[in-house]
Amino acid sequence: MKNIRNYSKWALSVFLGTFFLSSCSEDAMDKINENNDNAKDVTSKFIISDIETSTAFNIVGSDLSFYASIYMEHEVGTYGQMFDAEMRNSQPTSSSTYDNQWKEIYANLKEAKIVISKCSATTGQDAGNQITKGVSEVLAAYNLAILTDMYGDVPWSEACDLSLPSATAILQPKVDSQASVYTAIFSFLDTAIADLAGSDDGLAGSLGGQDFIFGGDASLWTKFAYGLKARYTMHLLSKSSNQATDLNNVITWANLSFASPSEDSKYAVYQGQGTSAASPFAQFYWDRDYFSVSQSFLDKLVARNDPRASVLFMDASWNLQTDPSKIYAAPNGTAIEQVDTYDLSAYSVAFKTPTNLLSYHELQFLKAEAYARLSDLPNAWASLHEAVTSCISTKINALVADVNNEQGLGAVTISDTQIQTYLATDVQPLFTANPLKEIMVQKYLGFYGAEGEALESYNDYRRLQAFGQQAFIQLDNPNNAAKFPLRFCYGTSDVTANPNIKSLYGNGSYVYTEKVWWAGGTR
Amino acid sequence: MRKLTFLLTCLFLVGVGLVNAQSRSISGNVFSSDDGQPVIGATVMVKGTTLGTITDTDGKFRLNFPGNAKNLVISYVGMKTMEVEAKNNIVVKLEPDSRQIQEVVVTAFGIKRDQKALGYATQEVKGEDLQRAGSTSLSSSLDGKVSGVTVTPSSGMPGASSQITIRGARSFTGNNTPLYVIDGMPVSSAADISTGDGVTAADFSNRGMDIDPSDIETLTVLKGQAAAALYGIRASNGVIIITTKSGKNNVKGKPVITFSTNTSADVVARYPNVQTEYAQGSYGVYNPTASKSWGPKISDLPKDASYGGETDNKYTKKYGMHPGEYYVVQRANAGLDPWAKPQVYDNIKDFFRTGFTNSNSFNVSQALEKTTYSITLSSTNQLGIIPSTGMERYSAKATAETKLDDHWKVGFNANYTQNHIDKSTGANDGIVATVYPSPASYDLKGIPSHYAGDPYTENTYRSTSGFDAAYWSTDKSNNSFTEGTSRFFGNSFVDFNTGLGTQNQKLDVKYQLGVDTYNSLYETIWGYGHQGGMGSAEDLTYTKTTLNSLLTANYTLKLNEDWDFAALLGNEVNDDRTKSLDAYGQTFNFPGWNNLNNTVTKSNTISQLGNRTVGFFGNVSATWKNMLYLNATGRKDYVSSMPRGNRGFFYPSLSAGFILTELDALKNNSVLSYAKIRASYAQVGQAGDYTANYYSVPTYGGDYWGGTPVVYPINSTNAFTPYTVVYDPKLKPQNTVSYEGGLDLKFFNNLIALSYTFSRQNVTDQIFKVPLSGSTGSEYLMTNGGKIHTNTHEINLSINPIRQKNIDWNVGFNWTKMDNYVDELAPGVGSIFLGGFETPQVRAQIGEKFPVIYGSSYERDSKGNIIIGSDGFPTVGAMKVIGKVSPDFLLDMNTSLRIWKCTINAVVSWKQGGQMYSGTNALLNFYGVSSNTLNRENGIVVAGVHADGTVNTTKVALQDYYAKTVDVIDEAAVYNTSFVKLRELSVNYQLLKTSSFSWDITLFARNILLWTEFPNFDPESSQGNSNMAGAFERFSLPQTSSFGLGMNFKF
Repeated sequence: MKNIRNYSKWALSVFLGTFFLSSCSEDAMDKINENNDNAKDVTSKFIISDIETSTAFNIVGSDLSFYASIYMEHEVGTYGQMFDAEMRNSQPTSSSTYDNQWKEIYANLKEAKIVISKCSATTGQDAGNQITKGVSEVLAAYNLAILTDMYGDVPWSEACDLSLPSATAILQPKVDSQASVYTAIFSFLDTAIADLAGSDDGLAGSLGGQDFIFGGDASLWTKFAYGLKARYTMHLLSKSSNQATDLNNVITWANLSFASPSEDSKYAVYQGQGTSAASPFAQFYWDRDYFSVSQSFLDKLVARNDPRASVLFMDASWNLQTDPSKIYAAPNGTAIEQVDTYDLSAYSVAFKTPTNLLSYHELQFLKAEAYARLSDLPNAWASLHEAVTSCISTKINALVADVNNEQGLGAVTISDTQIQTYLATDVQPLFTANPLKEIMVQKYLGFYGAEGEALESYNDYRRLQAFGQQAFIQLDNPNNAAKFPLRFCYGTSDVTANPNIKSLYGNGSYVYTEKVWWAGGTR
Repeated sequence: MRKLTFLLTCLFLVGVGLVNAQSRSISGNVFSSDDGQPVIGATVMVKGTTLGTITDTDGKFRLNFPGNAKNLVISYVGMKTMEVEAKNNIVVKLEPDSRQIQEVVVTAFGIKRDQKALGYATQEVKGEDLQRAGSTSLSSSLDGKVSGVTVTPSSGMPGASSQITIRGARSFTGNNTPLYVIDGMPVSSAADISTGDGVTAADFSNRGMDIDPSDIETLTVLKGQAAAALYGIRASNGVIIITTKSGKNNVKGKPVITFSTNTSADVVARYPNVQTEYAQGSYGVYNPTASKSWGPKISDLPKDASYGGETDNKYTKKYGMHPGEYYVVQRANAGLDPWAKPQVYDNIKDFFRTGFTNSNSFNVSQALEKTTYSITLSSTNQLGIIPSTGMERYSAKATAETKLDDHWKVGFNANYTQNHIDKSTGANDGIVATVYPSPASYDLKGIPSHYAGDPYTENTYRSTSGFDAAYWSTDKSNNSFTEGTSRFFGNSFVDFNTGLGTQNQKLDVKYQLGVDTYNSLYETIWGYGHQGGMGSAEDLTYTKTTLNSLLTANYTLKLNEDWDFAALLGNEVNDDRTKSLDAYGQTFNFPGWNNLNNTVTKSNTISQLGNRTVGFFGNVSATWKNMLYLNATGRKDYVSSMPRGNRGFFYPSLSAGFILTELDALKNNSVLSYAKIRASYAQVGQAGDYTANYYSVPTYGGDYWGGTPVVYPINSTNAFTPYTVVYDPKLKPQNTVSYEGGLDLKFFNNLIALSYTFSRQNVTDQIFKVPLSGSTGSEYLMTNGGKIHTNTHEINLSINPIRQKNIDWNVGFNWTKMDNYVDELAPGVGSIFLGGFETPQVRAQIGEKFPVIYGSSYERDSKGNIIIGSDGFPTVGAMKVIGKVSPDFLLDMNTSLRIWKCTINAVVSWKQGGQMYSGTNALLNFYGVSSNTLNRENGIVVAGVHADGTVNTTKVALQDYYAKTVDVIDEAAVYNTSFVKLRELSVNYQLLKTSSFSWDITLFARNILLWTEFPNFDPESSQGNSNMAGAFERFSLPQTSSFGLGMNFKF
């Protein structure tokens, strides 16, 4: 008995000794720490899908546009943060206000850079996928433009460093001028147009259904790229060395872009509340209920006898307000903070409304403006006519179908006859009186709805400021006297972690005094 | 005490040889003079010899000794040593002697040592002190009983999470909770699921709740790193060693059966003061769907222009005049008579119910000749104060140990516990968010919370966009938040000991293999109709298994009269495997079946993680003349969760204790009975969670979104993006260097004991997710960065002013002052986010105590006056630190007064200083509900000065004042949280005590008296189970006061 115990003692120690030593070898530890439930690499098209979703839902469709729609008086903020933005209470100057979108734009840009790098490589599944690369370049240009349009001078040349987390990675990127960022944007678009003429020959194959916007159609992406060149050339008009050339370029590129609304670059995957995705504006109403009808916006519709005034609004109990005189709109800048008090946008319940990234009607508005600025009034009117007709019929038809199917709102669409009557009797006299003003007002009115186009309205208004023409679009918020946000302030993540941005941010009050470069400012 | 020291005596009585000499033989009995019970294990020595024996379980002894010997010396720890004449059948009555009490404490790896031998601070709490006030959770039963230990409860909800930290925080965003070692087995206590930012959904309990306090015999807190260093990398946050009831201390022979039962009623600790004069509405006008109560006087409702029964409006046009009544839209929605007389409703008190807690524990234990065993069965059933909340916990434990022969011993310990919790929600999703602010004019309880004939359309006083109606939500057929866990943990061991053929050496080798495995299901159901939508379901299963292998060899050597040595060598392998499966679905196909299987849009993820720590450790200690004690430890750990090449770390510790009263000059001093100085140094690290960088399916939510507005796959298309956290391949462990010094003094025969400890911890190379500039395209870099240091002063004072046979009064004070400063973060990073909203947040900020509240401030002039704008409202200042969470000091008083058979115990806690963001307090002002808003007719002139220095005289409406401050200036919601609290009070009476049966009864109450600067609520209810705990409150669930009765039976 005693011997057995002695032997077992030794056997046990040998066994345990071996076990303990082998249990902590580097290979054993590596195996234990292996993360098998997440991919270490994926093919580019799966990255593209989310650049598109994030661009549409996070960047174009959500917060940035919500705030822009308050500053542009498409909506009145009547509760919570939107009320504070309406009253200019801290929101416009607080670095936390636009931080999520600041981070998301850069995340999109980083992903686009990853795709470009994968597709440019000589090995790997994506090697040789030129179209995928071109798509990524268009999306990079698109995000980069929103970034600099909203925030001004921003980090770009050192941003989104793909060498992270290596020691040489740049954690505090320097700030580039808006002019140089725009150079990068046009360079992306030109390279994209060249790449999109190629093919997706890599192992990963073409984008197909992973491309929510165009289903991998390179010709539509090429049109999108041209359309963006038109939009961005117009953004820089006040800084143009040759305005006539640039305006003619806008017209040329707009003509190379979408030929009809059916080709619009839009994110149209929303299936309704509670599905995989819903239109962000309606979702925001559902979750927050922070917006009410804007008095100044309603006034403009009513002044023009605009037929949209009978379709766009409803009361807090979701009854469509077809009589514009009965609409209880919130006064701009002086509303009380209360939910379910004022009337609402019908878009609040339009859960399927797609997010427009660039539309046919916007291109027509751009052309109209270019012609007007070139003093070619017949073409300006023709373009405006097409813009308004297309804008009303496309957007209102979609809205009516959406709110009637889902919510039974009983909305009636606007007939082509109504549109033509409106253009002839109400718009044309105003156009004749001041062509450029009416073009800009019509564009402003046309961009109402689910607020995906509010960012461009905000850009237009600031462009007009550069020319001293901002009075074209009358804004009524009395707080504008001292506090019209000329730009969006930098995000907290860089204000706290990047000294280059921290010094530019100061206390945030620069948003009321410093225009962005293309709007006549310095940064 | 006597039970404990018995064991010790047995163990250390090796020096007493057994007597076989040819001589006379006598026998005798040893009793205790105070209770007449036999003294077991008393030493009976023949004076002037080394011959002796110890008394048996009946206090009897038999001794052969040389004929010439005259006297016997009888001694027992805690009793006065007696010398008696050696006669047959002598009866000795030993007198108690508190001077002689030697505290024996459990240190790392179960090593029992004299308290006086330690060069660092530890504190022990007896099971009975934990159980006295009927707490069902370990953390609440520990609260207020140990210096240097901070317990941060979250709420009074059954199973609510709480944070226990020892000597502050060492990690900003990682784990700061101590390691629990139960009967030698490390047991996980952290929460599986973090409450994240702490602003949405229900709480997630921490796994410490699986520990049933009723089965604890003793609990030892190893506070400093020197005490815990032997446990290596997992012990930088201190260690809580729990010894459960085992039967080892029983009198040998018959089994001991104990049964204890506690029943208590739980009520809301504190209700807010609300106004009952004004109705729902705004600027004096009634609005039936307003979230605010700034309407007309309730009595004036019949005169309301739009809804009054006495005015001409669309309702009186339709239904005719209704004098004295007004039209209530929600009554119409619910199918009730819409006309109601104005009335004041106490919606808050109506909503809560009296909770009940019943816990039972049944234990059988027995000590036989060679074997001891103990079996415990226990149950806890709790009904929460919020309807729909509750908890059930059932546990069973068996432990046994047997001696095979003089050298071999085997044993095991097995615990099974099963629990289920029904929870409720806080913060943005808070159930009380539509209770506390409900207008006094609205009949919240009486008006059904859904439309007539439509259980899925909510009907309450306000819009349910972003909120659920309270009564709709507590109906479990709508929303439900549950968690359930089945857990087994236990171990078995083989122990071999030998004297190596000598009298002065001992070698003890022990191998122990343990397992801790559990399976949890966390289910969150937002029912069909939630906030007007079609609901969602999330089921998260969590399976974790830990294997623990532990081999230790203990060697002791008594070299000579002056020198004792001890050495320990060991190896520990701790291997965790965690699997979690998260299934989320949204939009139920049809109402009535709120189940994951009924959802339209689904997304699932699996995560399987392994984590292994292998440690080799050693300890050497030397004792000189029972006066100087030296101890050194070292441990080398290898961890799998760090990058290759950075996995092995060595951690040393040194400690020394010197007993001044052993010096001849101080010996037998009548004033100073005992004095010790001690000092220690240690280094312990903490490992990170490193993984190779990867892609994941992007998630949408947070920001303004109530739920998940986008769920992949979108229309069956999926996407992957780089994960927002980037991992540094050069990650190394964070390090804590700690210095500790202290003094233990006892005066006047131990009537007064005073102990002081100062410790300094310097934490460097902290591992945390360093927030990156957004312009890098990533959110965080998991890397080393940052420094934090903590100075802790702990004073324990215990006084025993009355010590009579029938009256014994003890008072103990635990005073803790803990200053936890953030010295450095990552380069360029001034502060990091721990939780909260976009603003305000809980943060760690350089140069400030940890943590702070950060948000928009009042603009102030150089004298600190609030600057008032020309419109009469306060102006908003910079985003900055607006509140400091950590208190100046904590002082707990524990007192025990025994009068004959009746014992009164109380625990009083005083927290001085500290602040909290209280969204609820601020919002009750904003909504016009708090009693602060009562005098509203005259408006308010806000105290402050204009920018030019002139005093503000502009009068503004009170509603506007609160709207413009609460909404915009976060500082308006920061409140002081100092409090004094009668945490526990119990009266115990021994109804019956015979040699075979005892019955005692306890009346207890918890959290019953509170004096605090904090308005309206208990300052110990807050959001979050993470490091933001205790800093942030917004519609948090309330704390409870409990009143109960407990009984103990012992056979």
